[in-house]
Amino acid sequence: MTELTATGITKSFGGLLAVDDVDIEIRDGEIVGLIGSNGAGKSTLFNCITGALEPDSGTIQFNGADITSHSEHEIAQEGIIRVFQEVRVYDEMTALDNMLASVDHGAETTLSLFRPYSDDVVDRAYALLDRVGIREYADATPAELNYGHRKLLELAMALMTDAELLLLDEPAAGLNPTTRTELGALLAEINEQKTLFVVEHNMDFVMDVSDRIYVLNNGELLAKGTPEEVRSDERVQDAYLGGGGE
Amino acid sequence: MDRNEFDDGGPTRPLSRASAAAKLAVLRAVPAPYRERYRLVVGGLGTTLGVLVLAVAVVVLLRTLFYVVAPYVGVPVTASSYTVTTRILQFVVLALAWDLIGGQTGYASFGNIVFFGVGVYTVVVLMKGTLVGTFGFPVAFVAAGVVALAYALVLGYALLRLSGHYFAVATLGALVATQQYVANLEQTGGGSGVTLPLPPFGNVDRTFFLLFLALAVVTALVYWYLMRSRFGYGLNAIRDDEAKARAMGIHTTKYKVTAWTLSALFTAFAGALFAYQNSYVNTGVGFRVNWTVLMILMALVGGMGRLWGPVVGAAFLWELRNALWSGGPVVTAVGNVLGVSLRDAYLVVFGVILVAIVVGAPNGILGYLEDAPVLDGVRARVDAVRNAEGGE
Repeated sequence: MTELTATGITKSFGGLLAVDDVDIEIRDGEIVGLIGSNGAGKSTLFNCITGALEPDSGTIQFNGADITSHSEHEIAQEGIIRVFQEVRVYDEMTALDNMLASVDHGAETTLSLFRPYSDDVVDRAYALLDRVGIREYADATPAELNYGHRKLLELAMALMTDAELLLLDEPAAGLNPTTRTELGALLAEINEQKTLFVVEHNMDFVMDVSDRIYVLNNGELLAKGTPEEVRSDERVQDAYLGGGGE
Repeated sequence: MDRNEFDDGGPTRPLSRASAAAKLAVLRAVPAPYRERYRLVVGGLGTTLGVLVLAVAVVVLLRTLFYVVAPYVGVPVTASSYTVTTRILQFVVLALAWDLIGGQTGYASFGNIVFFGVGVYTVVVLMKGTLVGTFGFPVAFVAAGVVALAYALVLGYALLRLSGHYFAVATLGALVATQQYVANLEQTGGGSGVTLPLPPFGNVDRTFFLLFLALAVVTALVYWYLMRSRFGYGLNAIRDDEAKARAMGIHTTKYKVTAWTLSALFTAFAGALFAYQNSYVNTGVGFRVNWTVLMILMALVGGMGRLWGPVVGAAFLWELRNALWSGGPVVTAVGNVLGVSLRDAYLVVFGVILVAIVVGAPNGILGYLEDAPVLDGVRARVDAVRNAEGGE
């Protein structure tokens, strides 16, 4: 049962209040969208949840446990994996090796970390590459993949971990319309097993894939609700959609 | 994906980026009409040299195997002929151990020889009985590993917070500081050195050859085994993108310190064997800064981050050093032409090799040969000739 509850999250950098008393709740099996203009605090909120930053105040609970002050790798091992906005993969390794490097590192025993991979793990890596549609590039290095395929590789790497909750930072950015549609279908498919929290700038895309949406503005939570509710919210229209969204 | 004319699509590690920039600069200096020909000549030359280096390594490998079996098939091997191969095996251990942290993890340690010294001096104080009682070599050997592990843990948690140049310089600092400390201890014989008890066994040269061979094989096996595990892939992940690795759940500090302590362990074992074999040691011999550079160069020349890279590099560079050192007729002749004694200038030759590798083959000789299969070269040459006939 996946459940993330962030309560009263506040984070400031010097005099700048990046995230101001934000409450977020993500329930099992949902796709939750997070929108807001540049500088609204989306990435900072992501950083607080994944442990890359520690919030100044507020608590983050994941599956009933307080993870607010846990370190980044602990939170990843506990089941929250982030996929970055700018593609972050391991450049010197083949796509397959990227997958193998992403196997859950929260090992049952320390010794098992030092044991070579079994064939099952390699099979799973191939299967996931297949699932996102880049199996034929298993032996290619990221430099040999195009941008879209690199994004898919990073997504597949996140699936290779045992994470229950994936934080996707602008998964559709830079993709052409066809690939974007395919990605939407893929996310819906992934959602059968994983809960997703998605930051996205492309309004059509995020309205299309999300069950619920949070809107951030200047670090504050401006609105939340179903895509329809958010779309018809006046404050959102004033602050965001009306101001040249799409 | 569109590619720059000069971009060979190589990887993007800092070394490779520097290499690509250097290559581009060199290529730009060549007048445009001659660039293709220049590339072919350099590529052909590179492949030829690479094959030669590989041939040296193969000869060393065969010679090692021959030494192992020779006495059993009735071929006598004189004691002194083991010397070079034994030293190469020692460097295989050092270069492989360095590669765990320097190549696979991407943390270029310039102070790894400090653990060699720790191994040497653990053996010294235990066998001479100057600290806690007198012990035999086997106990001292194991203790050398334990002390190095402990020392690497302490140093690792302090130094592995740094990265890049800062880490490299800090490890060098740790080396110099430790050397000075040991040189000023009475128990170690200080700078004037100390003589160890002679080994009780006969056939000393062969025994040490076999001991170093065993250590090299164990080091290589551990290296090979680990690099196929989650831990090994984790080290590569840290090398490529440490922040990403952390976000993917890798406890980067733990992994780095573990790689570093393993590196220290094997380096110290080599030091322990070396001390016993050499019998006399002082701090200049125990902490040889030259050797720290040499082990890095070996990994670099052979190819970092791959099992056979440091092995090939160790065999080639030590043979080359000996060839220059012993100064055969060819070496003397080349030296006379250049007006220098190559015996004294072997480090200059190594410097030239370092530059050539960094610019021309950042993935080492093995990486270079993998990327430039002979047939590809031939095909390219045929195409180029055809183009030259048709075009221009």
